[in-house]
Amino acid sequence: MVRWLAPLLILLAAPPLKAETLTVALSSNVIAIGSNFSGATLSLFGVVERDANTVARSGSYEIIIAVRGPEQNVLVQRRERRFGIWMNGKGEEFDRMPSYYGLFSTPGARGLIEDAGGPARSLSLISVEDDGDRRAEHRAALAAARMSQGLYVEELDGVEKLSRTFFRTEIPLPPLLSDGRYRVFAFLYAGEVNLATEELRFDVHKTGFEQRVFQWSREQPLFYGLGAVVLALVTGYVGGVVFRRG
Amino acid sequence: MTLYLPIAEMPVSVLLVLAMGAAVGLISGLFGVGGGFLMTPLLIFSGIPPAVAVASVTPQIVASSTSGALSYWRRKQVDFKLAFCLIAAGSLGAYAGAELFAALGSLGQLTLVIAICYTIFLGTIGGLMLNESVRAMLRARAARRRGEPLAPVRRSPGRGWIHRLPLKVRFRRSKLYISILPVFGLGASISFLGTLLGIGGGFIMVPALIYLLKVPTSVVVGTSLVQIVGVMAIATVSHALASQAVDIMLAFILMIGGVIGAQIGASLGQAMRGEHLRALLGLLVLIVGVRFALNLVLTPDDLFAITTLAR
Repeated sequence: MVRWLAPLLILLAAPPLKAETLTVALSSNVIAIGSNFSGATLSLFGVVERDANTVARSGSYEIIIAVRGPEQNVLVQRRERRFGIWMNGKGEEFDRMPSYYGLFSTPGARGLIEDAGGPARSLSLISVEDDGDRRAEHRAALAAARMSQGLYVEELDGVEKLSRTFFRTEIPLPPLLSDGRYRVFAFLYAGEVNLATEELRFDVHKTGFEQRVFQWSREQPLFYGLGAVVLALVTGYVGGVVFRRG
Repeated sequence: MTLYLPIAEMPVSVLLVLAMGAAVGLISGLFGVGGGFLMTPLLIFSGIPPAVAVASVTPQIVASSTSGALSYWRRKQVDFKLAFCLIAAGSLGAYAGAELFAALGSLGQLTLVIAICYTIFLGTIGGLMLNESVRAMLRARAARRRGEPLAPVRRSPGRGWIHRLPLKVRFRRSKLYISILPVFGLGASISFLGTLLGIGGGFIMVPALIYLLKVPTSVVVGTSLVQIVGVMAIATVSHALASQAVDIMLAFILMIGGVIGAQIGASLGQAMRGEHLRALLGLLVLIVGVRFALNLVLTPDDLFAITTLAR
């Protein structure tokens, strides 16, 4: 038995050439939406790890970070003029659209994302506009609207390299943030080759009072409605007593 | 100071919302109306989603009508039997209104329907009010010029078709013996519109009770206020169940602002003449209606409407 194990051990001991590994971390795993929430910024740090056995490379590393918020179904309607008034026409429904999408990269990765045959083109926001879909116009309008709300972000120089292997980026999260699970994908490229991919997650949720009110309205709508009525009656009554003249 | 609204899912400036509540409260105190027809459009125009605006103004109307209803009750100027009939019919209207509201929301047509209804509704009512009060002012001026005392406008004694309907019921406090059908029809239709549009409807209910049902003016305002409290309470619960768009935080800030503004308005109102007040109110109603009409007719900045459907 030892006789055929020995060559195997020798094989294992000879170090094969390895690709780089990617290690990334977020400044926080939870974004809490409290009563004073008006947006937030997450920092992402990462390092490209290489050791003595890593392939020697001449070019630089390029990093692409994609952030996807929880998915929603969205109805996009073109406004049309009928009988002299503007109304919403027949809509296109988009299923499972990310409520937030952020794309950040090192400046050198721009070609990978924007060129026609670029390997990371599918990550781009622009790619949604010319996919030959008859709904392309609606899709572009959705992207434009989300961009103006800061919900779709594309910063192709947003990843800053602090050294050859160490990088960071800031992920801006606007006030109109949906709660749920956000997924962060980090891609390491050298030339056109994707060397490594890492996935992280963070959660956005309402906290404290905001969360209790929201849950109450969803889980016990009847009592929530009755609660609103009682609050109104008491406020109206107290207001009347406090301000009664004479 | 900003506050994150848990149901609207957006931050708002507390002072802005408080000021809007106070401004509308002032107007409602000045004119003796609920002010929902101003509050809801103001919220919509300032960027609150229409669904949340309408659904959150309903509890605010409950609050702003409560103290008035109580003071009329203390003075025994409420016909509870009539109010109860109007509320019973109104619960059907409120339920239907909230269901239609939720259905329109998921079709992406809620904003359009709200805008059309407001245009027609406020345009008509505002025009009628303005017309009536300007005529009254002209009559008063002509009478003063001739040096005559102002003759009261004569009204037809009113034995119209409404009083020939069957199923008569006696309303002792109002000294009325009329069919239950127009009472139910009025209660259901006004609460249906009110729930759909986020208005109490007092400014339609009061003239309708006076001119159609011949309810004595001494009990009409108190009865209408009790009816508004009841119907808007039911509307609040219906919205909470159907569209889950009632934002309790938004409603509460509006209530506080409204209660304060109403007191200032009420004292200002003492100093003004009735027909002048009605003319101003008519003008205000008309302006809001025109604002909605412009929204419908002018080319929008954004040619696409985007609605997030339930996840």
